[in-house]
Amino acid sequence: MAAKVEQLIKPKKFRRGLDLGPPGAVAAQPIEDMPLPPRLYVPLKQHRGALCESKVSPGDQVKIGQILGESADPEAAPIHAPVSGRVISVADHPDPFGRMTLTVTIENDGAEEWLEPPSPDPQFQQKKLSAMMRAVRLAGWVVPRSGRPVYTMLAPPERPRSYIFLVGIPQIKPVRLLVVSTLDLEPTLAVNRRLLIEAPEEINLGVEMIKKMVGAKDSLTVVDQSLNRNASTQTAPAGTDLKPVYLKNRYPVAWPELLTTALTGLEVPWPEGEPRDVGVLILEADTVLGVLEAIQSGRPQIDRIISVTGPEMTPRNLRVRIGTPFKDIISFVGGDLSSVGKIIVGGLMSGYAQYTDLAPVTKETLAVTLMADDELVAFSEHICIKCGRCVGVCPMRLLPNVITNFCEFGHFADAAEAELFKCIECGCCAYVCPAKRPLVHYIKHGKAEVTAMRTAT
Amino acid sequence: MSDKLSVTFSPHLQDRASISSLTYLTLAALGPAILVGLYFFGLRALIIFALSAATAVAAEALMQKVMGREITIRDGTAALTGLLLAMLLPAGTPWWAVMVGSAVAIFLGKQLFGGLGCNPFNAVIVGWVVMQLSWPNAVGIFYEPVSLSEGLWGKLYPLDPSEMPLAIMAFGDAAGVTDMYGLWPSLIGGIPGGIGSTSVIALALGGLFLIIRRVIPWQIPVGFLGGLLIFALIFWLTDTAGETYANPLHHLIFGYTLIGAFFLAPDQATSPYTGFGALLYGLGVGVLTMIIRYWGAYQDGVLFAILFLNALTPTLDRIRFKSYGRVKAAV
Repeated sequence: MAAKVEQLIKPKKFRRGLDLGPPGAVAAQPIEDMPLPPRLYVPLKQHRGALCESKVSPGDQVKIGQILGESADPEAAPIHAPVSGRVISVADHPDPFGRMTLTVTIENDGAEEWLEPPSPDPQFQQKKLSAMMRAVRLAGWVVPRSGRPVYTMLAPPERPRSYIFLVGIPQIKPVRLLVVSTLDLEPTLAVNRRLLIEAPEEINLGVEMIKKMVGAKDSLTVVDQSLNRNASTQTAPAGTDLKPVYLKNRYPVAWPELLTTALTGLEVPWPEGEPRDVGVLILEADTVLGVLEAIQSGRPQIDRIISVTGPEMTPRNLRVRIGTPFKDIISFVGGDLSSVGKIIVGGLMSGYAQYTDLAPVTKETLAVTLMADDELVAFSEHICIKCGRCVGVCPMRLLPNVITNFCEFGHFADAAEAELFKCIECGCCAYVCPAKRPLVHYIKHGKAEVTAMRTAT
Repeated sequence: MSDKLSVTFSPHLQDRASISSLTYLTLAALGPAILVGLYFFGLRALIIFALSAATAVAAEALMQKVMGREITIRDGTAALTGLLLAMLLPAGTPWWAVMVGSAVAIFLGKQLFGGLGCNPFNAVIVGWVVMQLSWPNAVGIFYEPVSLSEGLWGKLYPLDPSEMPLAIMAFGDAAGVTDMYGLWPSLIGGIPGGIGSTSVIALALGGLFLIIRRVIPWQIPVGFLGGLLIFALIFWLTDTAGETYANPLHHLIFGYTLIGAFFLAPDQATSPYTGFGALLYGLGVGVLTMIIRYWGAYQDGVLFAILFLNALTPTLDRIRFKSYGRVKAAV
């Protein structure tokens, strides 16, 4: 079987993108639990599918693991109560993407009472596939960056998808290679890296389970090249069956579509496709552990591990309950609130800036990054000086200058023609732009306009 | 505190390179060549440099004021245009010609099209062409280099155009040129030519600095010099009698070759933005330069070749890689 993996692996060096330097000090910090906040805000949409229907009303007493919201949409994941306590309200509240979302507010009673305490099933390896899949679906795990419920990535496709180039041909998408990524998406994130160091055996077990579920014959683990020199991390994966592949974490190679290409040389049909279209399934280490917990003990997703970094503070990796507002996290880590100019959910390259510190951690939250007032960068409305730096760094080989010029002057149809929708919004172009043009802003604006135009007709 | 949180789209980081930092790096890279020019052409050269740069800055400020735009002289691009133009000029250029040329470069070459990044043709060369066509006797006559030993002002010993190195080379007598000036003086810059464009060593140093600091893409100088050398080499090798075509290396030393390769051809706005397009652009300039030098009416084709390839830049920009994920059918 080993020969098969080697057939598929034809690494293609990732030369575009940016070298943002080694991971920050956060990579050396162990994962800790954060104490529970007094009040939690649990949005009923923490996935890319439809909003969940609320199953509780103000005044209800809830226990950990109790369902707060559910939806029939296959792209929605059920939402569980992260703490025990009393529901104060079910009303609109800001979420990390700047939207107002229906949110269940829970007053934590501190009792930590479970509806059904997770009990490890010693026979979990003998479970039937359908039971495993069901456990993952009910646990409500979501892949943070894409917002897809994990079970939709593991399940065989329910219906054939149509592609521009393959109209009408039904597709089965077998997984030939399972890839566990322990790369972090950005230098200020370190959760996957920490999990590889702290829990390699669990990752190994999770990989075995997922291999069974998706029918993958082989798997490998992508590890940051900087860990290759470190003897303790080099031996940890070797003790298990993780087959580490060392890769330089050049931003944004850790993003699944680009990682697929860097490992196999195959390109994912984009923007309609996913790595599975070329036989690759990429899961991050924290997702793998979540799947394992769901199968092992039926524990729902009630927390996330996030990296917290900021000026003049020790960066931390924290296990945080879903619904914890950012202000509690900031005061826990001792961030200096008076000088904070930006609260960013996610990393510095692709995160969302917050307008309020009341927005909560959701299943889609990767990190909380604070920026001091004097660290903020400003964009300019300068016209494009045609230097071409953005063209050289674009990992999707687009022409960001051309696309954003179209978007800036309202030629949205031309922008769509110039493959606007292939943009993954990694931010490399706006990072290198010497004129400091807000290229990602123009692209997001263009995408919204084109989508509106298409739905109108 | 929530009333003072900033909200912007990603990314929240920016590279340190800005328009002005890139321009100032380019100005720094011009330093050695300017110093060599001052050594060989004295205070006259200093006046031309200063006058040209000052006129360009003033012209830019005036034009932007008139057009009601933001005045952007602090980014250094106008001064760079003025200095580059001065570097092409002979030591005896009259002051009014310098001022007119520099102002035309900014007015006609740059601002009329909308300012930085919008000009289709290299502004410096536009200014130079206008001067060349208007007063061929004032800016077409070059002078013998004299060193500071002849006094701070230097002395003007005009050369007949037929005595210029490229003219002598055009008659096939390449060895005669290096005999006349010596190999080292030719490399350092002690040859007739523009006040900032004679020194191969100083310009190459500045150019390498720009490539290493990623201010200019390597493809343009490499394509340019490669195209020029290969084209010249082919003719030199076929010329068994050794009388018609000069040694290719001579073409690197004389004329505007290196200032063109490192400072004029890689101008951001007028060169292609894809790497492959830039390589083709460079090759095109190199080959066209040699064609003009061999068979053209002008002695030196570099500036006309750049101007011509500027016109081809929008076409070259259409050559691009396939974007990611335009697949090769599913597996």
